[in-house]
Amino acid sequence: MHMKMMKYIITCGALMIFMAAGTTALVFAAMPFDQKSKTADETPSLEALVCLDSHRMPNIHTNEGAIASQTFCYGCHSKSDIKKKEARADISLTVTPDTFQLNQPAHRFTACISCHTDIARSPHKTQTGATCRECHPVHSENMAHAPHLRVSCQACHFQSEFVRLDPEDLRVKLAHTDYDNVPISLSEHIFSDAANEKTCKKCHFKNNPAGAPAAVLPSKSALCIICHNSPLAMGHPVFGIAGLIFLAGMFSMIAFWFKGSVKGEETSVHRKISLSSESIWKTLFSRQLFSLMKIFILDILLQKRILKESVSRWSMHSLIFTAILLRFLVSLFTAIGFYFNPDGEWMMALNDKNHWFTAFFNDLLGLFILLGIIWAAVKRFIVKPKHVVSEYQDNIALIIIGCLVLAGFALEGARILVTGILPETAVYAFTGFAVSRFFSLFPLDWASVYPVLWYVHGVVAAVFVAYLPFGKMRHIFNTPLTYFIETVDGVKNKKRV
Amino acid sequence: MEANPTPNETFQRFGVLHRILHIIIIFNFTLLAITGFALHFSEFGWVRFLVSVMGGAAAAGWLHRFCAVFLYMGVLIHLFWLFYYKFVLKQKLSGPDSMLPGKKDIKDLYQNLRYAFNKGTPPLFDRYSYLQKYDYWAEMLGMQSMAVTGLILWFPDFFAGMLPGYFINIAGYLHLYEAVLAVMYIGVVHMADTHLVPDIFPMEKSIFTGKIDKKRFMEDHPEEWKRKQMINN
Amino acid sequence: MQTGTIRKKHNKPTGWFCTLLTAGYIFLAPALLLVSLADAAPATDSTWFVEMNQYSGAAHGSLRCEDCHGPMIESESGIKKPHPDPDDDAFLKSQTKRIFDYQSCRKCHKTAYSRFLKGAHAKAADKEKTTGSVSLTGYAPVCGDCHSAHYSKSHLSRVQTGRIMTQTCGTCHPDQKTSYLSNYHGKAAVNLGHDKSAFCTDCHGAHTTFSLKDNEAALNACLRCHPDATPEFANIIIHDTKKNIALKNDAKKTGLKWVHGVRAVIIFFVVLVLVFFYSHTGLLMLRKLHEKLRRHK
Repeated sequence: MHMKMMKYIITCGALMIFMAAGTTALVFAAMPFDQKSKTADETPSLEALVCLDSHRMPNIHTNEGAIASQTFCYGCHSKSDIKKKEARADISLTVTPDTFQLNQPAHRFTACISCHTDIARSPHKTQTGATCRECHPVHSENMAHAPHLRVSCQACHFQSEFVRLDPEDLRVKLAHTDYDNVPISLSEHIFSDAANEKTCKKCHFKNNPAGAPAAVLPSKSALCIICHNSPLAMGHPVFGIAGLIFLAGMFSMIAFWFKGSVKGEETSVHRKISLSSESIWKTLFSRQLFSLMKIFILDILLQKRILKESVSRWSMHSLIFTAILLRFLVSLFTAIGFYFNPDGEWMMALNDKNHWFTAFFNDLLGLFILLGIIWAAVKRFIVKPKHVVSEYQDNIALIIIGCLVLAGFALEGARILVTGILPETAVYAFTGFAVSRFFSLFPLDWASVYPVLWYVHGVVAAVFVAYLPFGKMRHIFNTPLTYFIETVDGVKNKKRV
Repeated sequence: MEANPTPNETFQRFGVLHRILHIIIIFNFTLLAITGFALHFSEFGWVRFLVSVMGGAAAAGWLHRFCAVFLYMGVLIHLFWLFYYKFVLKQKLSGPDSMLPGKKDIKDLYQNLRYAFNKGTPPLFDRYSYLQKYDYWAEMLGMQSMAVTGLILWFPDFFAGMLPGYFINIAGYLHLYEAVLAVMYIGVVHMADTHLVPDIFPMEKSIFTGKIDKKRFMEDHPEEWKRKQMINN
Repeated sequence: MQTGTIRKKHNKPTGWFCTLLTAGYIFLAPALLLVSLADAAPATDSTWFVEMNQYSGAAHGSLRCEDCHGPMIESESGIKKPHPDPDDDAFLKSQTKRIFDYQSCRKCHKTAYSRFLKGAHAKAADKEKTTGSVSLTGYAPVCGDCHSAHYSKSHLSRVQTGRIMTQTCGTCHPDQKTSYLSNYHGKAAVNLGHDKSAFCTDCHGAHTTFSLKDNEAALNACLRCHPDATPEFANIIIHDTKKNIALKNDAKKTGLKWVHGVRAVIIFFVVLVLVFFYSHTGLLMLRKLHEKLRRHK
C-alpha cells in the first residue's frame, strides 16, 4: 500500500516537473526575441545612413536619446522668431534650452516627444495635447480637493490664468486664448504652484466658464469614508471637531463599560483592562472565534434578531444599515485601492462620480437609505403601532440621516447642473439626475448655491459622526458587542455594565 | 404513487426515471449555460481562457449542441413516459396529483402573497405546489422554444429558405434572452425555493433519493397527505 | 506496515517538492495567461521618426529608405523628389498619407493595387478628387491608411491579421465594428480566435472593398462558408445596428425594425417575470425565516 503511495507521489511529482518544464518552455517561447535583421550582412548604403541620421527614432529612455530628441526639436523651436500666425495675434512658439531647463527642472532629461507624443509628424498639430499620465499617476483628493478627474493636469499645474471647458470632450483644459479670445503663448512651460489657492481660483470664481462651483471648497475628510471615497485628511476644521467629539464620546462610552465589574474586579481600572484584554485575546485564539464569526455574519450583517421580531422592521432597518455598510465597504476598498493602483481601471471607475457604475451604485444605495428613513418615519409618526415606542433620540437619529441623504441628493443634483455633464452620462445617477432636472426649473446661480449645499451636507455629516457615540446611534457599537459577549458567555461579565 | 411507510418513515415521491431525467437536466442545463454564455460574453479575458480550455470556439459550440441534443432526448423520454403512463398503464394525467395547472394554484398564489405580507396562513399544497408546476411548465415550454430557436441558429441556411432572413436574428435574440431568463430563474428562484427554505436548508434531496420524510410530506404537501390517509383508512 | 518509517523519510522531501511545484505552477498559470494576452504596443505610424527595432523586424525590414521614398540626395543620378523643406510652412501642414506617392507600392504589390482600383475605397478617392470634398468617414483610404509600411509584420496568422484588421477598419467604420463584434462571426473570430469564422475582408473583400447592400453580392460572400445559402439567407442581418441604416437594403431595413421591436418586447417580458418571481420568493423567504426564528425561541 505504501509502495502505491510512493508511486503515486512519484507520478505526481514527475507530472508536476513536466508541467513546470512545459510552462517554463512556453513562457520562453512566448517571450519576444529580437528578430535578426535581414540586412545584417549587407553593407548599409550611404542613403540609409543619411536618412536615419534624422529619422531614426531616438531611444528617449536614455539621457543621450532624450537630449538628441530635444535637439531635433530645438532645431526650429529655439529660434526667437518662430510663431504661429493667428488672426488676432502671433503666438510665440519659442522654447529655448535655457528657459525650458529653468522652468521645468524636473523634465530636464525628458524628451519633448515623451509628453507631446503625437507632435512629431505631418501635419505638425497635436490631437491629444501633452500627456502627463504616461508617467504620473492621478493623485488623491488631499492635494486637489475632490477628484478633478475631468480637469487636465496642465489646467492647474501650468502658469496661465485662462482655462476653458472643451465642449467636445467636456474636459477642463488650459485655454490657448484669454477670456477676450486673444491668443496667448504657452511655450514658456512655466509650472505653477498648485498648492496655492490662487491656482484654484483660476476656475472657482463666480460665472466661471469651466463649470466649477463658485467657491473653493475644502476636501472631504477621512470621516466621509462612511459613505464616500475620501482621502486621509481632516478637511475642514468642522470635521476635526466632529472627529474629536466622536473620539471623546467613544472614550466615555468605553469608560462607562469599565465602570462595572470585570471578573469580580471592582475597583482597579488597570486590573479591569488587563483582565478584559486577556479574555479578548483568549477568545480570539480559541475555537470561540468561529462562533463569533457566525454571530458576526448572521446577527450583525444579516440582522437575524431583527428578522425574528418582524419582517417589516428587518426590511426597514436593512434598507438603512445594509446600504450604509455597502457604501462604507466600497469607499474603503476604493480608498485603499487608490493608494496601490491609482490609475487602475477599477479605481478610475470608482473614483469617477460620473462613471455609470459608481453613479448608479451610489444613487441606488442612497435611495435605499432614504426609503428606509421614510419607512421608519411613516411607522413612527403616521401608523404608530403600539409596540413601536417612539423616543426622541430615535427621531433625532432619523432626522440626521434623512437630512444627510437629502442634502447629498440636492448636492448631486446641483453638481450635475453646474458641471453640465451630458444627460446620457448623468442619467445613471438617476435620483441626482431627477433632482437636477427639478433644480433646472429655478433660475438660480447654481454654481454659487453649490458651495452652500456642500457646507450643509458637510455640517450634517459632521453632526452625524459626532452624534454616533451618543443617543440612539450608539447601538451601532453597543449591540454587536453585546451579541459577542453573550456568545462568549453571558455570565462571565467580561465587560458587562 | 403509493404511500409505503418504511421504518424511518419516508415515502416514495419520485420514480427512478424522474430522478435520472432530473440529473440529465442538471448536467446538460449547466453545461449549456456555461458554453452558451461563454460564447456570447466572449470579450472578457477569462472567458476566452475558459473557451480555450474547452478547445476553442468550435469545440465549445459542438459541446453546446451535443448537450442540447442530450437534453432534448430527456424531454422526448419524458413525453414517451407520459404516453406510456396514460395509454399502457391507463393512469390519469389530470387530477390533484397532476402537473396540470388548476384554479387552486391561483388561489394558492394569492394566499401565499397574503401570507408574505403577514395577512394569513400559508396555503396547503397538493402533490405539486404552484411554483413547482410553474417550474415544470416554464422548463418544458421553454425547452421547446429554445429547441426551435436553437435549431434555427444551428441550420440557418435551411431555415432561411422557409423564413425571412431577419427571423434568424430574432431567433438569436430569443435564444439569448430566454437563456438569461432561464438561468436567472433557475439559479435564483428554483434554487432558493427548493434548497434555501429555512426548514429544508441546506439541501432538498428528494429529487435525488426519490424519498420524502414524513414530516416534510405533511408540511409541504398536506393535501396529498390527507388524501393518502383517507385512501389508506 | 513496516515501511512506515521509510515512507515518512522519503515522503517528506517529495511532498515538499510537490507542494512547491504546485505552488509554482499556480503562480505561473496566470503569468502565462498574462504573457499570452499581452501585446507589445506597436509604434504609431507616420511620425517623423522610424522605430528601427520594429522596422527591421517588420515585413519591409529588408528594404532601404529610397526603395519606397525614392532618392532624395543630389549626388544620386537625377533627383526624383527632393526632401521637403522643413522651413516651408506648407511642409508642417501637409498630411503625410496624402502626399506620399503610393505608386511605389505597385512596384511589388501589383495584384493588390489592381484590386484596390476596383474597390469602393478607390472609387471614393476618385470622388474625392473630382468633388474635392471629404466623405463623412474621413479621407478615402490609400495604402498607408490601412497598412503600416514601416511596422506591419508578415507571416501573421489569420486570427492575428483579423484582430488588427478589425481595429483598422473600425477606425473609420466604428458602428460596423461594434455590430460585427456583437455578432457571432465577430465573437468567434476576434474574441475567441476561431479562424474559420469570418473577418471583415472575408465578406467585404480585402482590396476590392465593397458594400454588401446588393443582395447578390452579399449572397456570394455568404456562399464562401455556407454552401447551401439562399438569397433569403443573405437577408440575415449581420451588422445588427440601427446606425447607418441608410447603408442597408429595404429587406434589412424592415427586418431591423422587427428585430429591435421583438427584442424590446422580450427584454420587457424577461424583466417582468424576474421581478415578479424574485420579489415573490424574497418576500416568502423573509416571512418563513422570521417564523422559523420565532419557533426557535
